[in-house]
Amino acid sequence: MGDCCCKEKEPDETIYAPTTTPVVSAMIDNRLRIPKVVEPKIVDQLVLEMLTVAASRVDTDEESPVPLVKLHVIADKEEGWIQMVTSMVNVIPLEDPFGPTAISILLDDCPLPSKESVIRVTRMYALSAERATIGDVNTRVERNICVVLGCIAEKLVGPNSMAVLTNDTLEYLLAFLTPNSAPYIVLFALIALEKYAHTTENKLTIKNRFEQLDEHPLLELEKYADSDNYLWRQVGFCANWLLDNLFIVEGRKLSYETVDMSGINALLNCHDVSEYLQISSNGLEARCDSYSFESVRCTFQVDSGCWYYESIIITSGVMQIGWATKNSHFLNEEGYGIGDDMFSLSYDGCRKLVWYNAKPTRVTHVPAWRPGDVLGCLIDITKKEVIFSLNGQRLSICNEIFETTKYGFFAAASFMAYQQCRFNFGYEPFKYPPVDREFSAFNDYGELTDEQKKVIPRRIYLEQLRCSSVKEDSCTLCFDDTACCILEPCGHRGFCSVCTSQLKDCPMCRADILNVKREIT
Amino acid sequence: MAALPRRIIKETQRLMQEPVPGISAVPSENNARYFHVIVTGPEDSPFEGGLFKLELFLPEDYPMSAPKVRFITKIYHPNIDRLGRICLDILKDKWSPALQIRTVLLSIQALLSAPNPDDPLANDVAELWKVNESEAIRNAKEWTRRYAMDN
Repeated sequence: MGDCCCKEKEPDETIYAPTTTPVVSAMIDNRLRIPKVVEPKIVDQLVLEMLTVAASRVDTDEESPVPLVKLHVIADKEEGWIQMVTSMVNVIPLEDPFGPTAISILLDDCPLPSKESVIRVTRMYALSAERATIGDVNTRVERNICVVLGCIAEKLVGPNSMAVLTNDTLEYLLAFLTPNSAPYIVLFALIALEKYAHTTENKLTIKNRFEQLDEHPLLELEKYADSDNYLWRQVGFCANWLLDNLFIVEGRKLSYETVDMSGINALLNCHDVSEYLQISSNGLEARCDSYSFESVRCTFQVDSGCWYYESIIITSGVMQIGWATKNSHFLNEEGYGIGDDMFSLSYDGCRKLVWYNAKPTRVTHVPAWRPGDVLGCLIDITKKEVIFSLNGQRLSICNEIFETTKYGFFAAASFMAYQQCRFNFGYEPFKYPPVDREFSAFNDYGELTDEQKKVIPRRIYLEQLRCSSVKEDSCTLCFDDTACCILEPCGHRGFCSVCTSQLKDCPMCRADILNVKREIT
Repeated sequence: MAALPRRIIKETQRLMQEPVPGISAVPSENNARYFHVIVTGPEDSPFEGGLFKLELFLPEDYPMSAPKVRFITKIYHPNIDRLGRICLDILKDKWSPALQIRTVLLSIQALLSAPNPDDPLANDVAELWKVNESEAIRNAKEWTRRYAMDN
């Protein structure tokens, strides 16, 4: 599960990572009591504890962890909120895969700041183009500031979001968008801009500002989308996505119009994905920058035999990658993804947990995954086995999923915020192909039309849907399929077979449905 | 879930083109399943003159299951509780996929015109509504003035 904090617990003692600190109350007693302001060191300590908690919590439905509750109390007052932000900026380490996540959790859970508090923070740090370009930039601090800005922008909408995107803040973020800055900062500056652009006025402001520059920084940065340096690769991915989706540049063709799809016969299904996941134009790479647990399935279904695919880990945080059927639901807001129901199974190599039916099983004999690692996912439907491997090293065989499901499997994955992964469904040679059995790859058997291969930006897809007309004889419930069913005995009609199969009683008169008759056409 | 069903697109389009009088429902810019709703307090009700904010969310299996709707503006009403949750049969067991966002919002507007203290969600409010209706209505007007008029 990949979830927001307020409802998580440890399934057993062994998974709980011990906190790094002694009891905080003891520390308070040992120091001068300051009535209004809490000792900064204590806030720092709580923020660091939150980092450990973020890494160790795996299940839903429990009370908020203690450090979160304490920080919540502190951040309730404006001074306290600013203190918490200061601590996060100062102490969250650069390399910790949970760093940005912990910032998201804290800002999400604590009371929303007023726009005045936010502006106070930006003034306190004197955010400006100068700050971003002069002297030695502290990568950790600036990265954290960018994460904080992005999280706040995501929470505040409309007039408040416009108010906090001051000219200085915008110039500060823009100044980082060059190949000369540290990629960590560039990445989170891009993400912050994306979040601000959720408000239309901000989007226009940013777009106009881009156009005033001699060279459009995103055009330069999107060149890194294929980089072997995984930090720059993320920068490239985000820049490319922004250009296709938010900051359209006149004269630049959209990526899906230019990408070469010949030879690609299986990809991430851009019509079978939760709201906020971003998919590359070739359909083989995905990224989540949203504070929700985003999921996607592949286009190719497997019903029998033995199949294998590989995922190349770009970021080392929480992703749950594996197999799912169409019965598996993507409850992104609730934090449920692949492996969190009876119809899917996944491996999270960050926390080293195999997930089935929302229950984790600890894996001990492999290290946590790192960028560049290869997760192998094998399903042998004949033998009823799923085998995950990390860089060729196998985990134990899983077979619970076959108790509920015999066929209809898809490669599938869920992503926590700021995670990215690339998939190889057989388009390229596998790095660690299974050697103990015969297997097939989706790409050798998949068949997709040119239309199905297009990973169209969401806004264009929605626009197309809006323009499409509804046929006279379409189902009155979904408007998608042809209405062909007559409910008996009431005789109401106008429903397609997909909708009808989900009905408990007649939508028009609530009469029981005893029989469904096909309309004769 | 995935692709936004045509049903949602079409309903949204119609809501925009032919809005229901006294109700505005606008989808969030980055989530087409989430609507910001404003309902005007019906005439001749204690809520007259108020603008009530609600949020409406279409769950993954909409229209097979009902939209989730909640009042954000505080309101003194026997069928709406402190958290803004609404006691309305069509949002629960009486939901039918033939109903729409439009019909749901109309029903909510009707609920403001005709509170039903015999099927309460906010017990203290319902109790007062039954034993001393004029005082309850006074309270409702006062809350409307205090919470729903200053936007």
